[in-house]
Amino acid sequence: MEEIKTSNIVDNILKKYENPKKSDLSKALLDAQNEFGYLNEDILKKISAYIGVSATEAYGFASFYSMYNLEKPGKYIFKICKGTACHIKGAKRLINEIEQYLGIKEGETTPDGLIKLETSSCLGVCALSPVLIINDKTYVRVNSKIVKSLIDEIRAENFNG
Amino acid sequence: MIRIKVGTATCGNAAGAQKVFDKFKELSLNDKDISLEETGCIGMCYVEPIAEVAVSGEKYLYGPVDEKIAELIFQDHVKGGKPVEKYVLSNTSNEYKFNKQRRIVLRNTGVIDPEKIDDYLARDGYNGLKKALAKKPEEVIQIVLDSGLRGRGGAGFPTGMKWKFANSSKNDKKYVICNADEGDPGAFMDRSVLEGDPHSVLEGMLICGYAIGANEGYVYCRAEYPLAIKRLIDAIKQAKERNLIGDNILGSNFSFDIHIKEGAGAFVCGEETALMASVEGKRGMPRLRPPFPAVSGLWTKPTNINNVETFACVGYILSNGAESFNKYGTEKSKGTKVFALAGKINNGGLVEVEMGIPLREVIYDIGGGIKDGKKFKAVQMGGPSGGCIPEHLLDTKVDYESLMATGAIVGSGGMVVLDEDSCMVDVARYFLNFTQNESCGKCAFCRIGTKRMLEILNKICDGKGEESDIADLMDLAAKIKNSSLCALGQTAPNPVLTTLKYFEDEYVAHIKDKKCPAGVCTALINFTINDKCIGCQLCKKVCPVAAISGSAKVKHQIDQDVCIKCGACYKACKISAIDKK
Repeated sequence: MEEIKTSNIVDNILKKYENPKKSDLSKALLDAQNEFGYLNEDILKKISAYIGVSATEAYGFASFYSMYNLEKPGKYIFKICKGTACHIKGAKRLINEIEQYLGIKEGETTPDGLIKLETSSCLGVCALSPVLIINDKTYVRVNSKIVKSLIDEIRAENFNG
Repeated sequence: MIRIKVGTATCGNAAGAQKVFDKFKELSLNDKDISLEETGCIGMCYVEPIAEVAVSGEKYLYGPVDEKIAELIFQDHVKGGKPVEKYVLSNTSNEYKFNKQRRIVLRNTGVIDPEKIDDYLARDGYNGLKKALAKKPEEVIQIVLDSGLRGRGGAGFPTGMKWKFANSSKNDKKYVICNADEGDPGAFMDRSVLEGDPHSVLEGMLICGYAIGANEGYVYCRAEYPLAIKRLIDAIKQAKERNLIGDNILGSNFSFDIHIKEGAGAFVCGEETALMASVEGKRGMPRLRPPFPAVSGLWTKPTNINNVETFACVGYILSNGAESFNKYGTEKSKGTKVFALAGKINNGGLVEVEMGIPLREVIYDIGGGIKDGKKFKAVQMGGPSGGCIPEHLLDTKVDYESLMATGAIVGSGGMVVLDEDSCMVDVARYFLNFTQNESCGKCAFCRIGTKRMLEILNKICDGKGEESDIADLMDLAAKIKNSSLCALGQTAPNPVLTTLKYFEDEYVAHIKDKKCPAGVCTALINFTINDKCIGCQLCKKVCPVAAISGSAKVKHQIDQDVCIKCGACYKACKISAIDKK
């Protein structure tokens, strides 16, 4: 059932692209990722067939660019900026402390599937560093205390409520 | 009429500008005498969110503003006519803090509402395009050549020359690309221009299209900049409604369409041939030049690529003449340049200065000097392709040639200030880690050489450095520079080379003395408790690994074998009884 449902949704996304060109690949993949949160083998195969490139090429494309998730991410994606200004203001230590607090390493998701910890290249909010983005919301001038309380809030919201 | 403006670019929003805007909206609802507007980055990011109140031409800039302060400003100033002095940053009489700054690129950013084309038109917008359309393409190119404008993306190639090459390529199809893949860590000029004044970039692209004979353009913008993309989409839509983009623009024979292409997070796509491959739907890997894009670019058609800031200058130049631009700057570097000031500096933000201004003035007079009274150590310019400029070179002029002579570059415009607490070996390692990650893998020296350099730097920071390491780094650096296809590899060793050139003593301290003078590299520092300790047990409580022992009111001890050097005790101690060495 699940597979058929996925397949239908992908069909729906691809409708937008009449006479698909190779240059539509990036946007189609992004559309699918926005829908599913990540790209699995079935989705990649389906999109590549429609666009007219091999599945290998689509995979090669998706794995080249850091925007695409090839594994299912957590419900909340924490992106800690690793730009120069953030680095100078202690982003590395911040990442270490959050890793310890969550019990996972950068790039991993908590076993309950709630939080994925990522680092990001410069987010361009350098004057207010260090910077953290949770899903689409930007937090500036963060420290480990602030981030830990954000994690606590998320945990409370998702388990007690 | 009272005007209230709130800066709602990414920095402002992240600091809470949207809440401030909503508060003003709620307060001014149904009040026809008040016009509430959004605007782009005002440039003073260190005091975001910023609001401007203008009562009969008298402008007051407030920051940082929160909902409570917004209410106060509304009651006392907007309604009561009395400015809330406590939160005033500047007013018309002391003319904001733009002294020493010269605003051409940022002429509208933070002034107009970027979502309203009429605001742009009211400030001479698209006047440059109108003037260009009345001239021959060759005349337009001559004006750009005369202006002395050079590429603002980093390389500094004369823009008019680039256009001339693209113009002379004969083909029925040509493209214009705007490179908005601002990937240098520490740089956010292009984002601010796109968010604050998107039409200036579109106008530059249109003029370029007319000059080289192209009828289609792409803006290649990082997907990490969602607000910039949204504003561009809106701006294109509005320009189409006014016949400023589309067929027979303003009644001429010139037609031009602009598309947006979102980048997907690969730094190397800032390189022009990689960028074009990415637009075509391929992995973004650079190729050998020649042929240059002007001859064979996007889908093998002649293509002209310029950076956001470069395009933002063009409309101004066409509208006001080449002289309005080339009267600023030095002999070889004309006009102004936008820099993103960040790091350990008091007034971080966006500044636009005349080319040739000494670095010292940018950092101390405009940037307000170093945070917390610390000592300046270096300024990092040009991101991973650039280098660190030490204090004794602070009087270096900010222009292409002078900066190049120091080993750094103007680059795209990131200026990250480092103070005495920054370790230069760690900074070099940071950039190598970045380039090593972002290398596309095509050239062996860039792919493997950067990895080997990073391993050496890791070794040094971990206290395992050997005397031969510095020579090995120099050797690898030279080989990577000579054997890489694109600028990513050719410039990747620069952060290491400049730190070695100016801060070799720090490398030596790491390698020989096994010490990190700035106290950054954890393997090389030890935390110890001195005699000031009163046995308050605070450090003992915060230690995550129970490395601290001692009973109440007795001097504590740190077990060095257990300590993970997290620094929690150091931060917790209120009486400086813990030494970090």
